[in-house]
Parts: sequence; C-alpha cells; structure tokens
Amino acid sequence: MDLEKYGPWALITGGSEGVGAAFARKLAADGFKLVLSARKPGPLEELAAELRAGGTEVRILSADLSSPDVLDRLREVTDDIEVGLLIYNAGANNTRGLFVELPEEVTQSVIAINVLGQANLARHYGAAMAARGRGGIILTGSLSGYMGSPSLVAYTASKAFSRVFTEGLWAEMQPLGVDVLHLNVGFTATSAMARLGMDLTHAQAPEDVAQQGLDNIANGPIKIAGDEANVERARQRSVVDRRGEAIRAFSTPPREATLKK
Amino acid sequence: MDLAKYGPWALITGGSEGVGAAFARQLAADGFKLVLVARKMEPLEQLAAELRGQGAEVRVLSADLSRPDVLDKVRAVTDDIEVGLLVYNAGANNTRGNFIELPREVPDAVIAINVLGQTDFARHYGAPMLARGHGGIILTGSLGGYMGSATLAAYTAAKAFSRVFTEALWAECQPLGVDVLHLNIGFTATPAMARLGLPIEYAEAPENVAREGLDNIANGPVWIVSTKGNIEQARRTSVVDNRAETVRAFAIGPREDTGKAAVAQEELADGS
Repeated sequence: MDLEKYGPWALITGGSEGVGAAFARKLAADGFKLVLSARKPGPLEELAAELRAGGTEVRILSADLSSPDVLDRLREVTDDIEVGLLIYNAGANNTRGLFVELPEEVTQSVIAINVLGQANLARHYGAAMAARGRGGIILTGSLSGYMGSPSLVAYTASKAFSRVFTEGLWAEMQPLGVDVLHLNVGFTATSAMARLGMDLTHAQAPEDVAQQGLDNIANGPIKIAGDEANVERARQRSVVDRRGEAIRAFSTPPREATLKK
Repeated sequence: MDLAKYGPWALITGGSEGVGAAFARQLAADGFKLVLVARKMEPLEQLAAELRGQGAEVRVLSADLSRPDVLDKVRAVTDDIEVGLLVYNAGANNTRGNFIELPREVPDAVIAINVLGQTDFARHYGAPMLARGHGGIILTGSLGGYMGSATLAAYTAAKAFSRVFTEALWAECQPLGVDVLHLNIGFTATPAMARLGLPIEYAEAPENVAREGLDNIANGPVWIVSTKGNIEQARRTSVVDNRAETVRAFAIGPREDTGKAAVAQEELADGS
C-alpha cells in the first residue's frame, strides 16, 4: 500500500478483530501509523501491543460506532494527525427478527452505524483528504445489501445505503484525487461469525478480504470480495425483473441454515 | 381500492400536492377517510376543502418529515383512528453538491426523511396492520436509488435504503396479510419539479403515478412506474459488472440536462 498516497495515518473502525485487524496488520507492515477503534478495549489493546512490538505507532480508542458522539471522540485522537486512509469497517448484524417486532434500539443501532456514522466519518475525513488532493476511503459492505431479506430489514437496507452512497462519493472524489471503494464482503470467517455459531468451512479468510480491499482501492466504486461465486450472488440479487421471485429464491437465508451442524 | 382491506383511514405524507395529492383524490373517490400531512398548511387546507366538498372526512397536519418528533405529531391525529393504508411519499431533493462540501443539514434532512422517518412510520403503522391481518403500505422511491450519482450521494443512497427496506418488509408482511409496495418513480410532473424549473412537459402525470401505485399495491415488493424507458433505466443502473463505467454513463445528470435525459430515456425504450 502506497504510504505516500494514503499515509501517514490510517484510521480503522471495527479495528480489533476480523477484517479490521487484518487491515491493521497489513498496513502496519507497509509502514502506516494506525488509529484503531472498536467497542471492546481488550482485543484492541492486544492487537496494539502486537503491532507496537513490530515498531508501529498505534493509537486506540474504545468507542461504540452507534453512539452519536463517536466522531467527536475519534476527533480527539485524530485532530493532530493526518489521516490519509479511512477504513470504515463495521456492522455485523447480531439480532434478527420481524421489523415491527424488534426493539427499536436494534434497528436504530444498525442505521446509526451503517448510515449516519458512515456518512459523518466520510465527510469529516474525506474533506481533509480532498483538500490535500490525495487519500483513500474504504467502506465495507455486504452482499446482503443488494436485496431486502426478511428478518434483516434494517440491515439489508442500510448496506444498500452504504453501497450507493459510496458510488456517489466515488464519482465526486475521484476527480479530486481521493480513492473511494465499497468493499463488498460475502461470508467471512470472522470472530463475530464464529460467536454466532456459524459453520465457517466455506467462509473467506479475513486476510484475503483485507488484501483484496487494499489491492483494489483505486478500482472503485465497488470491489466484491471473494471469488466469481460472490459476484454471481450479487448479480442474482440485482435483477430488476420479477423481484418477488428473486427475493424468495436468493435473499439471505435464516441463520439456522448457516449454523454449524 | 378495496376499502374493506385497506381502510377506513389512509395516511398520506407529502399529501398536499403532486403524487400525494393524486393519491388523496383517488382514495377519497373510493370512500377512504384521509389524514394528510405536509409542510405547508395552505395547500393542505385547499386540498382538504376540495375533498370535504365531495364528502370525504379529512384531517390535516402541517409537519416537517425531517424532524425527529414528526411521528409523535402525526400520532396525535391518528391514535384514535384505524389507519389501514400508509402512503409514505416524500423526499424530492432540492439541494445538490459534493457531499463533503454540502452543509451537513442537507444530507441529514434527506436521511431523516427517507431513512429514519420511513422506518419509524412503517414500524408504527405496520404493527397494528399486522395485528389486524390486513392493510397496506406504499413507500415511494426513485429510479435514482439504483445507483450512486455525484452531487446526490445521500439522496441516491437514501432511496436505495428505501427500496431494499421495502423489499425486506414486503417479505415479512406478505404472509401476514399486509401488502407492502415500493413505488419507484421516474421523472414526474409535480409542483416540486416545476419549482426547480425542470421541463415537466416530458414528465409523467402524478395522477398516473398514484393510479399505478394503488392498482399494484398487491404486486410488491417493487413497482416501477410504467413511464417509457423507466424499466430500462432501472435495469441498466442495477448491473453489477463494470460499475465504474455504469456510474459514469448513467448517473443522474446536471439539472439543466433533465429534458435531454428524458428524451434519451424514451429512445432507450424504443431501442434507438
């Protein structure tokens, strides 16, 4: 990863484990300084210690991306440094259920992270990059954002927001020298998925996902991680015609279908 | 429109003019009672007077859909009635610009209306419909929501949210007897468009848009208004491959090119 173009600091949200941690390790190896933010302080501190031992300068912040003051808190640890790369990586959805029955807090938190938080961070860090005429923004999304799925109403919708938002932002920022990429992630072997009891046999390794993101940062607006099968899934979920049939056939399956047998 | 299934009251947001007013007139003719919500009181009162003159029972409320307390205000005029049909119709985008330069209030309002407001209204009015085992929800969207467009990042994204949200809600509600429809609208001859100076002689009549929505409420999750070229535009902006070329070629153009774009879209349908 080109430190001149995207450095010296990279800010990674959801940066303590899974895809976020994989981004952190790769960027540290390329000489980036890192700001890592995640909810749980324990895994953050462990990763920071590991990276510092390798000679990397690391700042960490324990913060909840769904809380409205998250940007203010991040600014406290980034206002004095030059963030040339923003990786907004967040938003596994842990709670499923009928939209009208789910507690309002569940859907509000999904929207706060994937819609409001993403927009606010992209604005704040993107404006500074555009002023410098260089930099990069990677927003991670999901194959689930190509189609609405029952029990995941707010999640699938907010991932659609994220994808189309990134496309618009890409079109605006590319002429200004700033790369913007929606890294569309399929089934990935993250700790979050493991905690949900999923069968990870066919899941993509987080390291591969992160590498594909970094390798394709200039190939926006969208990179679908994984192999051709994931691209085909996106195509199946993008058809305009006979939408009802398509949703019945291709929407994200119930969790039971993906649990470890 | 089946009053027994979707009545007795219909709630229409953005219900003072354009597509919202067309919904109101057609539903009043079918015997629905109406709650109309819009920002400006005067056009609301005018429409209410017209509909009352024809015997419809109408309640009006002036409220801004981008405000966090809007659902509470609307509840104050609906808590004592049975809303069997929700038409959430809103969200013309008047201010364009690069996302990082626009005043934060602009995208925040777009998100408040199309993401947060829609979500809150669908939850509040959808839950009792499901409990009753009948009812309908129409959420209006835009062809712009199939792809991101420069100067309209939040708007196009919010319309994508709206469409996918509706799809998922449809999948949940349909087995429970409640119809959910995303009415995807192209270029429509509304007063909002006219105020922007757009050449609405190329645009679809709001009456046709509303009629197609009501006629297709049970044909969800998505109904693309049948204006010539709309379906072709949706298809070509939803392709997965070669996304960069697609965004460059087919994004919503500058406002002054709207007439040209409307003609081009018709030609697209003709295959010329």
